[in-house]
Amino acid sequence: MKKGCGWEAEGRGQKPCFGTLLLALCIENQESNQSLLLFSFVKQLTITKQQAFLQGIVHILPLTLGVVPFGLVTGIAGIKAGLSPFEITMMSALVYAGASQLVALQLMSTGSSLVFVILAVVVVNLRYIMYSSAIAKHLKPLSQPLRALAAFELVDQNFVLTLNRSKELGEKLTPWFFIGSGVPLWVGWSVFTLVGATLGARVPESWSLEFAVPLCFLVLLVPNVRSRPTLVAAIVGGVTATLLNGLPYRSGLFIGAVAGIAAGVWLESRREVKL
Amino acid sequence: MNDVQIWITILLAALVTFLLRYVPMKLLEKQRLAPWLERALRYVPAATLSGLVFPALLLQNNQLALSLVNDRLMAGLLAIVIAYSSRNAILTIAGGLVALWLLQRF
Repeated sequence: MKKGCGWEAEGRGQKPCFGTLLLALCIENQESNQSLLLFSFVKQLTITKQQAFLQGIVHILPLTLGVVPFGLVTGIAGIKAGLSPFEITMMSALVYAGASQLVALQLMSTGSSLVFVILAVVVVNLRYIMYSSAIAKHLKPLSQPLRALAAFELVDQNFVLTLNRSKELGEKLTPWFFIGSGVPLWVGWSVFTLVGATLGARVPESWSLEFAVPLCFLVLLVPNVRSRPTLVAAIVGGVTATLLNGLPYRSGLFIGAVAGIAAGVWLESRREVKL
Repeated sequence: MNDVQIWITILLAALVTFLLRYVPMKLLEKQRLAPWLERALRYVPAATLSGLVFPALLLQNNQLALSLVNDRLMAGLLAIVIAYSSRNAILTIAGGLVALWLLQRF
């Protein structure tokens, strides 16, 4: 561990260097209290934009592993829906929103019309309105084109990670951390969709790899449930969507989401009145 | 769907998804979100993500299956426990998949 930490020599450099990457890796591997100690050092060194970008890349890597099974499943689903490996890979690279892609592919394979496929995509991706609103102020320092790039990169994983780190990074570095963290996610997502599309047929059905998809959402859902109103929103949304699963065009998902949000807001305001 | 329809679907899906990600931050350059909307939006992830998780665990062949022999429900509950205690994505996904695999065999 010690020999990997060559940050004293290189950490002050203005250019992103291998030492920075090692530094960030060191921090990742430390016990939590030690890592806090190291972070205070990093602050004193006043890291550059490039270093924040690299930190973003390094810190998202554990979460990037989570998109591996998800990408594989999407690649397989694309082939099943009648897309070529190139088409499904381009879909992942351009749409870059797994849940909505899976719903869209399911509808495409059952012969839904274009309008309903797009409608389903909008419904499943409505949460990006909320993410985009919440991250907006952190991305303000960026130029217009870079902000558009950052918007394109916005997914559950880097949204949550960046918001958690924004305080210690400060407003100048947070956007660069965000942009960096989006890179491995996007590359991993596109590459493993392609792998799934080309090799997916060889994965035996008995592995139940498709079960990785709800598990991916579960990983994102659990840390989101932080209070009683969010718990109630999740339960109401989930149960409603389950009971209405038979409705056409996956509209149960949308109705469930609305019901869950309403339940959460209602409980929150009721508690406020009590206080 | 033929190839042209597939490409139109892909490009339209990409466009609407990008707009959902970009337009809110663009609009918020000049003004703030209404407080009631901000409050409602905070529940979007929990309410939407659970709609993607619950049906996969609770339904078997489109029928509600609230029982101990529902392998996906059992594996999912284990994954929830792992996710809650470890906050580790890889451990959760691997744990859930292995649990389902074992349950389906024994």
